[in-house]
Amino acid sequence: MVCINMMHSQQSQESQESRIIFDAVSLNRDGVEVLSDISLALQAGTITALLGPNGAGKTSLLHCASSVMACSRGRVLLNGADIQSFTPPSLAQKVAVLPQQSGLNFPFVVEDVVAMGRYPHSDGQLCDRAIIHNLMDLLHIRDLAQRPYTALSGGEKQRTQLARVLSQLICSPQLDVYDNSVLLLDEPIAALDMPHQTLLMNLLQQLAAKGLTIFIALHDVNLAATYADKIALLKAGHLIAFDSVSEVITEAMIKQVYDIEVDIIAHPKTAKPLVIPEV
Amino acid sequence: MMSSADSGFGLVGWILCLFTPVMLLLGLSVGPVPIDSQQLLQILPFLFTDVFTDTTGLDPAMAGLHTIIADIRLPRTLLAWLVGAGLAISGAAMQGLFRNPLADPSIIGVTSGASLGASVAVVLIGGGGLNFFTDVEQWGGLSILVTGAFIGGLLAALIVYRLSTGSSDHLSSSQTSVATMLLVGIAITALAGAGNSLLAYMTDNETMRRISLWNMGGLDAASDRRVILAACIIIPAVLLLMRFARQLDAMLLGESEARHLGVDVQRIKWSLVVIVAFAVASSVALAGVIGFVGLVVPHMLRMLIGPGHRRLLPYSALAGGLLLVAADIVARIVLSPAEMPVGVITALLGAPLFIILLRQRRDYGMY
Repeated sequence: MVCINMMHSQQSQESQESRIIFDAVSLNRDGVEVLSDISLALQAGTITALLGPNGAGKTSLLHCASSVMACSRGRVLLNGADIQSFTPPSLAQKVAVLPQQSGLNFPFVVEDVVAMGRYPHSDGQLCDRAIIHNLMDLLHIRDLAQRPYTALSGGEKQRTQLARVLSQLICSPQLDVYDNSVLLLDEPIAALDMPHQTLLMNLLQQLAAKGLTIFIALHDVNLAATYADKIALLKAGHLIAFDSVSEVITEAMIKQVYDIEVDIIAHPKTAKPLVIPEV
Repeated sequence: MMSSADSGFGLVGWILCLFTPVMLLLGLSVGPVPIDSQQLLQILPFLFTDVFTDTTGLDPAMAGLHTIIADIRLPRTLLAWLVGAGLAISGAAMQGLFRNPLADPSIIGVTSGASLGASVAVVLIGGGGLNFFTDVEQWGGLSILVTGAFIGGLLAALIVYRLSTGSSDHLSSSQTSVATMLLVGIAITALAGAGNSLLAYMTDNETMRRISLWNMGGLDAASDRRVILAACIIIPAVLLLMRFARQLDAMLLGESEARHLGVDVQRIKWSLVVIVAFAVASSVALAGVIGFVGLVVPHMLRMLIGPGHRRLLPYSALAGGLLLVAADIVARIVLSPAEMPVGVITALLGAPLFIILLRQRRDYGMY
């Protein structure tokens, strides 16, 4: 198995690095500025949550980070190089993306969908199989392996797509990740029940500890506060705040971005901020 | 990458391989003059000796049968086989590209675009001082026919793709709209029909008859030259299309998902559209308009082996060849000694299936 030697080696040193840098990124779509002058850096091996009301530009920002959209001004750097300079195959080896919705209408069986995440890599069938099976176990879809994707429930589809996207960045059954890789997730938990939400967020934390850089758009502020290392707050295309959880999740900040009154208390166990909407 | 549904050449593939020679031999023996297996065995060795002419050593009583096979049935059966394979794999590739099981070249207008192109070529040859009926069977005439059909088919494919999928910077439309695709197909078919009628109106009776014969689809014009030309285009097209299996699988996830998996979507689109236009155009130019093969074959195979293109593409080619040879046999015997255009048979087979698929389209989540 080739994948073993891809293991992450100098973790402590790497965690200081910026994996993705947004350098004064602006984006126009149909003449409307959907992102304005956004600068932020995603540290290697961290989870950064992207919060903001509907239409704030979260998805657009993720599109810029995955090079699906070229920014109108500014640039996005991946590992120091302009992301637009990567060819699709070389980018696919570093960046995996889970879009908000997926439109797969053909009855591939679950295992084949997950296996598509291995397309960008050539580590051998044994390695691929071990990774795929392990991810299906972790996300509780191993029993569904031979079921057609089109017959799944929304949550099962979501977990299948998650397994596919994760298999693109994981290089061993022990969940080691490829060097310098980035995971972009757009609302990955919307269709998941509570146990699977927790399961996914814990899995993401584990992967971040292995060196994976994760950028995740979320609606659930409390989930972001519990699991993210840093939070970026977007409103109407502007970056309102980008800082640690305790700096960003404040009553004033939530009021400014979401325009609702909230109370914030400390989580009884983790002491992280817990947002309670006022009744 | 390996999984249960993806390893090796499956049972269905072996069955298709086994049936291909059987069906080809059947295509040689069935017709107004029946030729039984013993006679066939006697004649076969002489078919490939000296370009169909050297019959020394063959029982003189067999010479007539030899002529029937060599001049009529062999080119016709081979042309049906090639065209069927080309149309079916083109259908499978188009359906992958459009992420939509209804995207048959004949339904979305590529076939009619190609037929208009071919008609224009017919008229141009006629108008250019060449007598179409004597010259079209020469290499030059046939090549012009294929080129005209290619240009027409390519334009139609590009228009449909352009209009029914969002442009690449518009990600909201990660799916093709079935409604738009079918409507654009109708528009192009109507336009091509109008163009054909106009051409028929403007030209002489003989050219008109020829044009209308194409539109019904006919393999009766098959000749050695047509078979060789079809082989030179369709065999490379089939082999090339098979190389896109992985990319097409990824495309089924969605265009942006395919890109995230490292597929150069823009390049794949262009390559596929051009190759498919070539395959469809050559079959239209050489064997007439034969619809629904590209719809029926991949659909039936998907029910047997799933949607994975690694198998779907080669199996479609094999099964499409089989189907069209079989349809041609039927076309030859139902009204014997008269013949039915083979396009009628495939339409009788395909149109009901198309309607069933349309009724199910909610199951595919498409609108």
